[in-house]
Amino acid sequence: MELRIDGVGARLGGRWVVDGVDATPPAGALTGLLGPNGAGKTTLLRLVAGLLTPESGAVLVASDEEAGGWARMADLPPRARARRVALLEQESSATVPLLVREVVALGRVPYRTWWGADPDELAVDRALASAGASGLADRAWTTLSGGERQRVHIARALAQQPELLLLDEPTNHLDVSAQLAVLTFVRDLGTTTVAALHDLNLAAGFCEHVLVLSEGRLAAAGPPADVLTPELLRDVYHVDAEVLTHPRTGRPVIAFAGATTPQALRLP
Amino acid sequence: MLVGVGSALLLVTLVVAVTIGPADLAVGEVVRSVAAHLGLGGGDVPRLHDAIVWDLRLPRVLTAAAVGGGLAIAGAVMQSLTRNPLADPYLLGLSSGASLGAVAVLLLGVGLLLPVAAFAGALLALVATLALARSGGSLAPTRTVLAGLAVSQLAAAATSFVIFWTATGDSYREILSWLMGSLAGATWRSVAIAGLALLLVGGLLAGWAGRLDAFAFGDTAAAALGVDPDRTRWLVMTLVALLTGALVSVSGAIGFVGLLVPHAVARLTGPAHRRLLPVAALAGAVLLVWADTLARTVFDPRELPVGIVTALLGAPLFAVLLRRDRAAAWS
Repeated sequence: MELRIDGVGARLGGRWVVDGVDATPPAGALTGLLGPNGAGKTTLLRLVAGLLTPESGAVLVASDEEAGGWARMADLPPRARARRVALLEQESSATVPLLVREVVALGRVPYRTWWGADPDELAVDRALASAGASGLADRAWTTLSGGERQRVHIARALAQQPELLLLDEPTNHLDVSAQLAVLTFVRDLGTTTVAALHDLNLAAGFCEHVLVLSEGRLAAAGPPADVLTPELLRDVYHVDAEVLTHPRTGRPVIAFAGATTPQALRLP
Repeated sequence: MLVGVGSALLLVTLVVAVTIGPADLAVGEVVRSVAAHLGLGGGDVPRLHDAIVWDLRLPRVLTAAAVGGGLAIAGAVMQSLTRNPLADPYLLGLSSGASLGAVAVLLLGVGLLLPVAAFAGALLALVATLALARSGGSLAPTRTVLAGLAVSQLAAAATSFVIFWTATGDSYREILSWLMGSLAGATWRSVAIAGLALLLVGGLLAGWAGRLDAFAFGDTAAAALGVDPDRTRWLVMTLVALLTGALVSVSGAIGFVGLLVPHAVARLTGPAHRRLLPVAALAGAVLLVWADTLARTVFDPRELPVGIVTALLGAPLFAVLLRRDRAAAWS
């Protein structure tokens, strides 16, 4: 999906958590949203998802119906928006033992008729199959492991048949092979995806494009090899690091040497 | 499957419950009497027995079924929308509010239809409870229950006061039947009010089953699925208040059915509303018909308010569920 983030800003409790961010995540590719804790990644994802209305600027999506070809995400009717955009929250969990098939069927809610029927009855099975979760279909959500839960969340998002997929820390709490599996899957999906990521090496290895946030502002944007430089890592993350090239994939690999003292803590 | 079993169980319950009472009736007589009134032949039932079936026991049994089914649906929906396993129309004050509305019409001559006044009372109680419970935009389970308790006690006190102040003669009995529930006054009109409310609200909620499931992962998840959490919550809660008002206007405030039935049924059906709601409605109906049958026969010729029976059955069952689910989300 064609997506434009145009001078977007939002305040939480009076503070600008996201401040004047301009970005154009490439269509059909995986974009990494990077930045230290509290940089505004989750808030920016919610703004892009249309769940928060920006106080400045706008999130624009390509639209045939609007003059000029762009519509504001926050102005789309909720159901229409949920058919185009799926969001995977960080740490999203239910306390009730819904079956996996029922969790995935939640992705069909924006398509249901007013009496509750799904116009595409096979959509849930297809979503389960493409996320590799068919074998989990009749398990209760509460019995799943972390990796299985993430797989089911992805199946639920696929059932929404989204043009834009937003993922908040999709690799959190997963073991390394599950992390690689999730990112390989969404990279190869061919859907425009923006994923907030903590692990810089995963971002460097899988993303076509990265956006780096620092205190709510966009610090850098572009291909990982251009953006993830020792200077940027020092300025934004306060770490001392070398950026190497992976001998087999040719992608950047970040080797950390240690933390630099953050500006705020330096003694006078 | 469960819906089939439940429907069969409900049908048997209805017929058998009608045969039970001071005048002993046979199942065959009940069936023939009902068939005759529905114009399906039958007949040859003694006139007195026919009157007992058609004018006394059948309306009462059907009212009990509709009220029980409606309370179970109301409880199930409130528990998921507030993500609070303790939510139900009785504990959150809706039932007492509805009782107060009904009593205000009956005794103070407020110019409203009885079910409309009960609905207004339930809605006011709902608004009061949620306003008291809301802190920083979210509904904490403990606060919600405490707020419900306060509202419920206040409305119950006001109901008792109104009855005590205005009624002549046996006002204690009347206070009890509004606060603990009683089906002694059930007529065909009660069947119509409770039955229509159950069909209308139950039907609408059945169509919304998927949307109600969306709340399982919280408000943000619901919003991301295109369900406006606040608007949906208010709309569905208003429907629940409407249902509660209609039920309470014919039965008074009956506790424990709305709280317990959804938990017990969810163990069989799982928490997805598409399967939970119909089975909970059937189970609530069966439960309340039997509770009312006990209430009117055990101390014959005296009657217990049916709420005493549901509490006597419900409290121990609740204790069992509480112990079993200690690890789950009861805190």
